[in-house]
Order: sequence, then structure tokens, then C-alpha cells
Amino acid sequence: MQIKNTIPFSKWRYFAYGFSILLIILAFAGTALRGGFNFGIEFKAGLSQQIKVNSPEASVEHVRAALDKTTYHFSVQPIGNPADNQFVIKASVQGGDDTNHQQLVSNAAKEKLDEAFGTGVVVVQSTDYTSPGLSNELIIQTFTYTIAAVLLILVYIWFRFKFAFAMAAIIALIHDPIFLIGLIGTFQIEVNTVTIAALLTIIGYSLNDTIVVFDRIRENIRLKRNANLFDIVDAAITQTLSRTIVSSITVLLSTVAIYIFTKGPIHDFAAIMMVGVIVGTYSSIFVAAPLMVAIAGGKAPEEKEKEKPKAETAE
Amino acid sequence: MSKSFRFFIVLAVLVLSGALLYPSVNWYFLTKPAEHSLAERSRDQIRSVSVYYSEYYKEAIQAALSAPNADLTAPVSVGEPRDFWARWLTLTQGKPSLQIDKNAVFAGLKAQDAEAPKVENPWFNGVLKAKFAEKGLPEPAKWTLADLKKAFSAPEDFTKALEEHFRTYAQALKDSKKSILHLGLDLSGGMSIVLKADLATYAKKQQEKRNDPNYQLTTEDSDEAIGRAMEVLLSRIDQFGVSEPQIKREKGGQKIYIDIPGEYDEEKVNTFLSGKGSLFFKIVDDAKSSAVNQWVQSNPDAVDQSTFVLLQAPPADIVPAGFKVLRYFIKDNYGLDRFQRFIVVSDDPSTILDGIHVNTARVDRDPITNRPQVTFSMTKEGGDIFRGITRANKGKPLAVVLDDKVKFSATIRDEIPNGQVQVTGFDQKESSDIAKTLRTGALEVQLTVESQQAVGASLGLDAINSGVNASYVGFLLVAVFMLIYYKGAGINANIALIFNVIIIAGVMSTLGQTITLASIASLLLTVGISVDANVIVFERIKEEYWQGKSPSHAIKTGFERAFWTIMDSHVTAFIAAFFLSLLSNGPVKGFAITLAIGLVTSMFTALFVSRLLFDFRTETLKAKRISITWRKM
Repeated sequence: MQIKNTIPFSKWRYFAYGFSILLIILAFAGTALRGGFNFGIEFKAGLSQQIKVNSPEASVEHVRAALDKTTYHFSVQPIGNPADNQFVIKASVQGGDDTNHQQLVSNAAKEKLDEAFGTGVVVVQSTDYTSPGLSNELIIQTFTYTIAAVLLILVYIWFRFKFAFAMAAIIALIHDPIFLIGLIGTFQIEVNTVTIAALLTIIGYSLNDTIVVFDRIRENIRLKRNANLFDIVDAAITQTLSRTIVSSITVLLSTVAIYIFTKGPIHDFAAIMMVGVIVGTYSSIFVAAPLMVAIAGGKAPEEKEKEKPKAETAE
Repeated sequence: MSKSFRFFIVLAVLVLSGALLYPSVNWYFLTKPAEHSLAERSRDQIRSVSVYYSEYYKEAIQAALSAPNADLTAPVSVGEPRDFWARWLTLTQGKPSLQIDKNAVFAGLKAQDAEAPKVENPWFNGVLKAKFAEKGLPEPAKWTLADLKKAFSAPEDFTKALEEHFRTYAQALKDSKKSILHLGLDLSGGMSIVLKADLATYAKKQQEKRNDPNYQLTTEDSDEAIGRAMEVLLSRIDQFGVSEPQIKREKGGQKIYIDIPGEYDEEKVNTFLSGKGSLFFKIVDDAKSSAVNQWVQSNPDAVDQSTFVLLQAPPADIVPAGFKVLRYFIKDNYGLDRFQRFIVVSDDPSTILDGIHVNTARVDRDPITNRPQVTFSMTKEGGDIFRGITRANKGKPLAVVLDDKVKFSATIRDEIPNGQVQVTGFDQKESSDIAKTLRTGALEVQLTVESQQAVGASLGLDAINSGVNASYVGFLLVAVFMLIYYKGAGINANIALIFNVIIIAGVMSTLGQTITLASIASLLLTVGISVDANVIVFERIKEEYWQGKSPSHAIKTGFERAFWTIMDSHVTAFIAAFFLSLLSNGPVKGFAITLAIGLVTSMFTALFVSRLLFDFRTETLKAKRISITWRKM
């Protein structure tokens, strides 16, 4: 097996570590500056409605002034084309599930909006309501399942590869969502279950990338037992580079289509995906592989005897 | 595995998926939007329209028969239900049957019929054929008005057959809708509500009632209470508007799911959810009731023949102010309300009791006569009001009114002092219907809204368009890219991709999944992942090929080496998708399930279908080279 024109990716590893840490710090600083995360209705129980005000004098200020007369704290955001006079209004509710908050809060909003603009002028286009009980349940569920998923993936890679591979994969895997979470906070993208779905997809995607590279590293270790591990890693990354780029391009192409044509949560999903694909590709090449070498102590992890791939005998 | 066997498997999977998808394709691409809206209508609404259908064509046929020098050899001009419904929908602008001006719509239909020539209706010929077979008559070559006369001796038979004809058509549409891929709320518009039974408060109430602070709800108790709440919801299903809501209960749980497709009336749903009483006890005025029924008989135009709504108010000497005319319905064999007669009740608030005061209602047997009787009890407050009403109206009938329909009436024999009431004189089935109705007066268990999602139909249409556009463009971009980059092999990847989408859709329709914007996004992501699997294989083949291996050898080694890489990446992504699918939230669940299905089918298409295509080219077509790159080899 010959390796032509190996690109020395490992050389840049310290630069990459520093770059990653800097990016993560910047993203979280941005979140702190913007006053924390913008939690969606699923995670912050309450009501969210998209309304359309069929009146020329409608403005964010007018809607906000009307809703300030309720006992709830409503946030008002314009959405879509300003000429459409569409707004998203959101209010959170607190308390037990024994009261029908949905009734109280939606009636309060309707009453005050009708008072301000006249009956029938404000049309509710969509409604989203989550009760406090369900919201707590969802937060717990999301945490439990995310952690359970990450642990199971760790076990699988550990089983298929070596511990050093698994640890490096998990660190790279944590790296991507942490950076993205910071970015979500900085750009005040709503944190809801769709955002979580995007993050988990990115985890899966980035892991996919990492595994393709690791697979090749493992294969190269078998072929060249005494070579320097960094050289082996560089060779593996170079060999898989065209696959990495082609795959990133195809996923980017389909997410760009989603990004362009959709609005609302799915649009945000596509935005996170696009950034995530790039970050995921970067972390597989510059973070995961060099980290694996560092964790393995610079030496090739010992090979299990039974794991002789069929491919080798085919040659 | 031999190639022909693999080919057979791929073909079988494809045919199976295609067969599973056929109903959906038929529904979304070959069925008209008007028919979609008919399938969404409630049974009650469909019955009204079928009555209108039968009325209209009965009149038309009667007019043709009674015309001077009527031509009995003319063809039977009963319009197709499909055509009738489409015209009906346009003429009535989709309004529910209660708000329709029947005469105006009939006039509109007649004008259209006069302008456009009559169409043959082969389906109705089938009805005639069945009728002829039943009577043992020989089948004519062409169906004429004379044959119609022979088939139906009584006009009622003809009306019934027409009604049945329309209803069969509507039912067939409803049935075909069951086996299709359903659009999620965000695409079709509609409302979805999750209600949760507040069992803690219910337990507290029971403790007070039983005077036992240690009382604990057993599983059976709570199950029964939620079951009764379900009954109440189902009995008020008509209140939601024109479309038929789905009401389901979480298996063994405390949650109740309500889905209202299409258009919904937010206000109606809210009143309904707030549990406002719609059941009332009212005092009947017998003399005025029979006067109204007589008046209606002599003024048939005053009543809509389908819904029995009074179109003109009766004169004040028959129904003076302070009284209200209500319709009395009983349930027929279809479980639908059948009109009986008009009943006049007093509208004086002091004679009305809100059904919210009903505590329990059950059917038992009279200890002496052993006949079925309904026993119901009221709250203390309700009992006091009821005592006053029964004392003042001894000997008069008392009607139980649900949603402005009289469900039954019974004569007050004596003053009822303690809120314990027995109703006798009905058979077992009637009694159990009465008990059910009484229980709908008040919800024993308070239901709180746990989550609610509502999307206006126009917003849904926007979402469909954006989703469809995103899919087309995303799919096309990827396909074109693959063709340019991988040339011949790109065709394999694209065919595998198309297979993948068909199989995913087939599996989704089998599992009864709904398509949401999230699952469209997931499908596009699966396209990305599935292409990636192909890319891994192609790159490997390319490497082997460049090292000078023969095409078939390069393909074999390429696939073998790529196998574990693809396996590992798919398994890890599957783990993530699996845990996401456990989240109880709707959109993410849909996303994850689609992704999980897509991962499995992507393995199949990338390793199996694509391999078969490669082998086909190198082994069957004996290609000397592999076309796998845009670069010069």
C-alpha cells in the first residue's frame, strides 16, 4: 500500500486545540452577552401563538402594549415580511397541572388584543401550548435520553475499536454540540426539541465522519505496524479526505435546500445543521484523530487478534 | 447469493413498497381536493349531504317522469356522487349543512344541469342491476327510466337507494383514507390537543364524598373515571365543527389525545374544553308541542327536511315568548340521531337545571318489577333546585336536552326531594343511552390541557409547498452533484437513492406514520447519509481500481472494505435516532422515526441495490471499465 502526498494534518493539532477552545469560549461569551438562552415553549411551559393583525396600525409596540395589560409577561416578535403584520407572542406560565393555564393565558391574550384592535381583527394562525408538568417531563426526558444515547455510542465504539478511539470520539462528539449550543445562544435561536434534534443529528453525523477516519487509521495500523502513529493518522485522513469532502457537500446541499425553502423551527434546524456539518468535519480531522494519538500515548493501540478484516485476505 | 436471487429480493422489496404506497399516491395525486374534504366530514354531515343528494335527484327524476309525453326510453340521469359533491361544495362554499339555504343551492344545481348535458353514472347502474337481480328481472342492455320504474316500486325505496348510494361513496373515501400516509398537523392544518386527567383532585373529591381521608384511587377507579371522561368527549364530538375529530386515549394512561384535521373553530374548541355545561333539564309544554307539530305539518316549507331546523319561526300564538322549540332525536341503528318530533320547552330560568349537577348515573333494575331503570344522583345544590322544579311541575314531562337536542323526556310523578332520581319506562338499550347522556352533564375528572398545537389551514399549505420545494431542490442538487462527480457510478447512487425514498415511504405508510415538516427534513438528511454510504463505497472502489485491479475485483474488494465503515456509522446514528424517538414530543419523534427507518433502508440500498447495479454492468453487460470519476483515469 503506498501513500502519496500525505497532508500533515497532525502538525496543526495544537493550533486546532487552541482554535476549538477559543471558538467555544467566544460562543459562550456571546450567549452570556445576549442574556442566556432563548428557551422555547416546550422547555419553558407556556403559550406561543403566531398571530396576524389585519390592521394598518399594527406594530410590535401596539401588540406589546396591548399584551402588557394582561397579568402575563408576553414577549412579542415580528415574523416574516413586515407588511404581513405577523407576530409571535409568547408567555410562560407557572404552577401545577391542576389549573387549566391554557384557557387562562389564551383567553387573556385574546381579550386584550380584541380590546386594542377590535374583535376579529387579530387572527391566530398557530398555537403552541405546553403545560408546566409536561415541560418538566420533557426536560428530564431530553437529558436522560441524550446521556443514554452518548453512553451507548461510547460502548459501541469501544466494542468495535479501542478505548483510545472511543474516548477521542466522545471528546470530539462533545466538542461539536458544545460549540453549537454556544452559537445557538449567541444568535438567540430558540432552544426547543427541534434544536435538540439538530444537535443529536450533528452528533450522529460528526461521529460518522470520525468513524470513517478511525476505520482507516485502524486498517493502516494493521498494514504498517512500526510506522509513527502520527504519520499513519495523517495518511488515513488524506486517504479519506475526498470522501469527507464529498459527503459534507451532499449533506450541505440538502440542508441548504431546507434552509432556503422553510420558515420557523425547521429553518433553524437547517441553519444549525449547516454549521454543524462544517464543525463536525473539522473536529473529525483536526480534533478526534490527533486526540486519539494523544490518549493512546503516541503508540498504536494494541490490536485484537481476532479482528482480521475479510478485506485483507481478499488481496 | 446469486445475482438473480439478489435481483429478485430487490424487485420484491420494491414491488411491496410500491403496493403499500399505492393508496397514498392515489389519494394525493389522483383524488380531487373536494373528495378529501368529504372524507374529513363527520358522519352527521355526510348523512345530511346524502339526504340532499337523494332529494335532489328524486325531484329531478320525478320531474322527468311526470313531464307531459315523458320519454321512458331516456337514460337514467342520476348524477355521480363525486360530481354532485364537487358542485355542492362550490355552491355552499363549504359551509356546514345547518347554515345552508337549500332552495338556493338546488336552484344553482338545476341551472348547472340545464346547461351541461347529463353524464352517465355507471355506479348507479350497478345499484339498478342489484335491484333487478333481487327481483329476478332480466338485465336490459341499456338502463332507461322505464327500468328505473320497474326497479323501485315505492318512491321511498328510490330515496333510500339514492341516500345509500351517496353514503357508500363517502364511506369508500373515508376507508381509502385510512391506509394512506397522513399529513401531520403542520402540513394539513388543524389542531391537536393532549388532555390530562387531574386524578389528584379527583381522589380528593372522592375522599370528601366517601368521608374517608385514607381513600386511595385504585387503578380500576381511575381507569373508569377517565373512561367516562372519554365518553363525554365522544358524545360531544359534533361540537367541533364540520370535520371529524379523532379522540384517542393513551393506553393505560391518564392522557387523552384529540386531533381535529383541517379547519377548526378555535372558540368552539375552547368552550368545549372549558367543560361548560351543555346538558340541561327543561320542563316540556305538551299542548304547545303538539300545536307546533301540527303547524309544521301544514307548513312543510317551514322546516329543512334534512336537518329539521325551523326555517320560519312559528306564530306567537303557538309558541309565545319564554318558550323554545327543540328537536327530539333518538339514535338509529347507525348510531346517528334520527329526528322524531318537535318539543316545546319553557325557557324560564327557574325551571331549568344545569346538567353539571349530575353526580352519577347508572342502569339498574326496579326491585319490584325487575324492569331496567336509570338511577341518577345530584349534588346537594342540584338536588335543592330539582326539588323546587319537580314540586312546581308535578305531572309535566321533563326533557333532558344535550346541545339543544332533546334526548329523552319523562313525566315527573312526584316531588323529588333528595336529588336521587329513578327513570323508568325505557328498555335496556334506551336506559343505557339515557345514563350515558346524563353522565355527559359534568366531567367528574377535570381535564387540563397538557399541550396544544394548532395550525391554520393556510399556514399548513405554505408549509407543504416549502417542504415539497425543499425536497425537490435538495434531491436534485444531490443527484446532479453525484452524476457530475461520479459519472456512471453516480447513476447507481441516484437509482439507489430513489429506491431508498420509495422504501422509506412504503415502510412509513405501513407503520401509520404521519408526514410532518420534520420528517421531510429527516428524509432529506437520510438522502445525505445514504449518499455518504455510496460515497464511501465509491472511493474505496476507485482506490482499488487505481491500483490496477480488474473492474469486478475492484468492486468486490471496494464493497467488502466499505462494509464495516458503513455499518459502524449507521449503527451509531441509529443509536441517536432511537433515543430521540423515545422523546414524547411529536415533531422530534417523527423526525427520529423517519431517520431510523432511513438508516436501515440506506444500508440496504447502498450495499445491496448499488452492488447489484455495479455487478449488472461489469458481469452482465461485460463492461471493461468502471465509470466512477469525473477525472481522467
